[in-house]
Amino acid sequence: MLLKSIKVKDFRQFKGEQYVSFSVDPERNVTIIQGDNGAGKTSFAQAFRWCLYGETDFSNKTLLSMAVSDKMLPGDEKDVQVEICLVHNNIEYTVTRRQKYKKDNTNRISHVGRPKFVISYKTDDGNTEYIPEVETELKMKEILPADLSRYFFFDGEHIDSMAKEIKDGRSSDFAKAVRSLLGLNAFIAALEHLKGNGRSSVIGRYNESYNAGADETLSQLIKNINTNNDRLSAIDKRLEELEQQDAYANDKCQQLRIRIEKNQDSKELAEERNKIEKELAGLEITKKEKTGLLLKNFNAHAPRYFSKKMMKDALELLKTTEQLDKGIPDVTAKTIDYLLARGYCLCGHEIKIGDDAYIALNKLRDYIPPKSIGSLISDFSASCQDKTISTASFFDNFQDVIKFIREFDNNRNNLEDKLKKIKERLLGMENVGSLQQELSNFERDLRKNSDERDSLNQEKGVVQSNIEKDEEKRSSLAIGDKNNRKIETYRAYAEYMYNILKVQYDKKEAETREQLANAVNSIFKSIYNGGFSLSLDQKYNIILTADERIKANDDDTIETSTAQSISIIFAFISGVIKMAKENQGSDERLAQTEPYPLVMDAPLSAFDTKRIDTVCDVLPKIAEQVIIFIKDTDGNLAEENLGVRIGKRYTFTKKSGTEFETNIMEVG
Amino acid sequence: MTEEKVMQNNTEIDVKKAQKILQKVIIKENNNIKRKDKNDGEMVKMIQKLIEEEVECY
Amino acid sequence: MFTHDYSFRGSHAEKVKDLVTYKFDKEHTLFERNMDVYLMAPIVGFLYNKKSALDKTKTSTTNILAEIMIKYQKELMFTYRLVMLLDKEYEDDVEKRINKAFRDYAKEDPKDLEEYDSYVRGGVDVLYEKLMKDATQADDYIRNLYEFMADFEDRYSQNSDEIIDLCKLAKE
Repeated sequence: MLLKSIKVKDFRQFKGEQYVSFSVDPERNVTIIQGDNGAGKTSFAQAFRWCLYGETDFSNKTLLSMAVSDKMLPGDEKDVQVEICLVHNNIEYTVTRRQKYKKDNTNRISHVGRPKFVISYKTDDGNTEYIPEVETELKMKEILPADLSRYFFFDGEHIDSMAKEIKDGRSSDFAKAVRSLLGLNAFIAALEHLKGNGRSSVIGRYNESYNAGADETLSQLIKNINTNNDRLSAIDKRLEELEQQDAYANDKCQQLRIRIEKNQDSKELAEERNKIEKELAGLEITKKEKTGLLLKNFNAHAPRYFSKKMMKDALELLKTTEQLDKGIPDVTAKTIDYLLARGYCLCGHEIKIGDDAYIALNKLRDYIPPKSIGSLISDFSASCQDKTISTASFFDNFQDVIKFIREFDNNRNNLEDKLKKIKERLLGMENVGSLQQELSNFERDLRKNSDERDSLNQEKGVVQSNIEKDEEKRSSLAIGDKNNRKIETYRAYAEYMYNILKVQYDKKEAETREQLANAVNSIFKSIYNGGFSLSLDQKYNIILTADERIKANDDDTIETSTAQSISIIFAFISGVIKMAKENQGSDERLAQTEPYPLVMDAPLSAFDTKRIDTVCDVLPKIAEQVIIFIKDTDGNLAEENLGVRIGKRYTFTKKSGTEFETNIMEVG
Repeated sequence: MTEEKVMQNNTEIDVKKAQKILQKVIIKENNNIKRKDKNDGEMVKMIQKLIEEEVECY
Repeated sequence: MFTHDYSFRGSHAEKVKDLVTYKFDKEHTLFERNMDVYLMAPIVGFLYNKKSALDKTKTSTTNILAEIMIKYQKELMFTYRLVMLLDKEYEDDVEKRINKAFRDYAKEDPKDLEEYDSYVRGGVDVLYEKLMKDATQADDYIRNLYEFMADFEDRYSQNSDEIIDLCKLAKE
């Protein structure tokens, strides 16, 4: 398939009809489309995909140009259309996809119905014929299958995921597509028709054609063989499914193991975080308790403690005024009255009214009951003693509690610091526990699949040997009937043909794969000499291995993995294209081949200058046709390196004053 | 494949005939890949016809 | 004495309210009740030699009920006696001070009570300033409390044994 031209109408930024014709000159096979970021290169690349496969990556799925839809009146209808002219198998096709849009009364734009997809071709006599509508998708698949197309039409943003897909876990569909590209299609189809799809293949149909007649044994045998054959294809189908599941699960397991490895620390950190958080919560509670204790003591004892100074001073005062020891034990006012009445003192001294003794005794009344304050004072003094004793260690206790509280604060600050650091480290780490869980789920799936596969393979062996036995019996029984004898012969031929074709195919396929691997590897090495080699496994998965050579050249700069990814993709695609071209030139009658173009975003800036040189040199030699989108700033680079190869140049310019309109202009 | 006859499923196979059929089959398959004018069922029937005709002819 | 409701008034009422409501955490306040302030304030007021007049610029009040007063009468009486015994500025004559403490209290002389109350109010002012100033969170209050206590200890700390020895004199 080669691309001749594309015509877009009101597609996204491209208002009206705009046209790009691609160079098909074998010498100058490069078409350059140059434009600033945002000028619509990506949209344009998407126009190919939409036209051929009806898919786009736009988040806003409306394809109609805003410049057009803004001017529409409610009720107006407009078509978006992309038309691609291409040559495939020497037939010129025109592929058109058209979608109608309508503006409703609320000024909303919505699509009307499904897109119309039309493929027409020119017949040898110059007439135009149309592919029937029901077969257009099929035709497109034949021209270039969608899954493979991504490798011929690709944009920079998907490079990494594409490289990964090429490197591992690709579906068997892809391998099929590659085989067909490499001219093995007829082999595959013949093998499939001879012995595939259960009962609908040649051998399957012969198996059903035996005529049992009245022979019950034969009838039973035929039935058994058919049942077993059905079972056999069911087993094969299931085995294939299992293989795909395994590829997926293995891929996941590998990713998960890497992530777990990377985040191993997080498990321990999370445990430590929980421990510290618990400790902190405990500290807060203890601090609260201690604070409570402090305040309770303060409320209960502080007045007593505060009054100690006053108590001491008061007691001193009472002492100096001799109030503390003035009372005479067991002497009361009655005693004085008695002494005064009898006229002489305890010591025998005479007492007369008004003399010194009389006065002294009367004064004593103040200090003895009932008039005495002595008992109050001694109560007071007893209180002083109680209070003093009860608060003897009040301040020390208070200080101890305060010290505790401060230590808690320090501890808490330390813990909080630690916690903060742990949380910072945990940030951005993944939860290993759940990753581990996920991993063991996948590992369990793999084990389950492996068990199932083992038992299926075992069953397959049994079924196959049963079929063989039954077929042998059937053969001997079939001899009796002329018709059955014929069928037996035809079937044997088909079986024989299948076997030799399979051997041929396997051999050719292995050769082709080896050629492809060599081609891919030599291209990869020419554009990426980072000390790696590529090889292909049976499913066309690319295996990247480091070379024996321990050290790369001194002038090797360390390149980004993007550059490596791009190199892998380039090498793979280039290899496929190169092989396709070589096969076409040979007189191999059994192989059917077709060249393919390379339409790509060329992120030239992702490479160093030396690599750009190589890439620009290698690609146009490999691909029949190269259509590249480059940034304005890469223009000189491309011109320098691709110069003589460039057949056509276009520029995309944003229409000044508008955000969403791009004009396409041919240059030179 | 120099032998002229081989046994397959207790049946004698004429190698020359088998190769001839196979070549025809591959050519037909190749053409069909280009033109897509027959579906799988039709191709299977066509191959059966090729086999039967070749086997029956002397 | 100390058998009727007591009211803090004006600015002092507001300060007392603050002192009993600020929460260290969900469970603890600096002072548990108005009574706890009332027990402590006269001592602090006297020791800091701070008497404050009744504040009439504000109308707030906060009360202590009579039944609570009666429950703590003995304690209150004790503090009253200390103040009366030691307040030389109020009464120079020692004998008279002793009488105020141990004889005249029953007469409930309004002048004596006012003297005592002015120390209560002064104590509220001191406590408020020392404990609440510049504090916004629990740790600030604890720091204030500790500083207040440490100052107190530094300034007024007493040897308990000396007091106990003096007390023994009364018992002989």
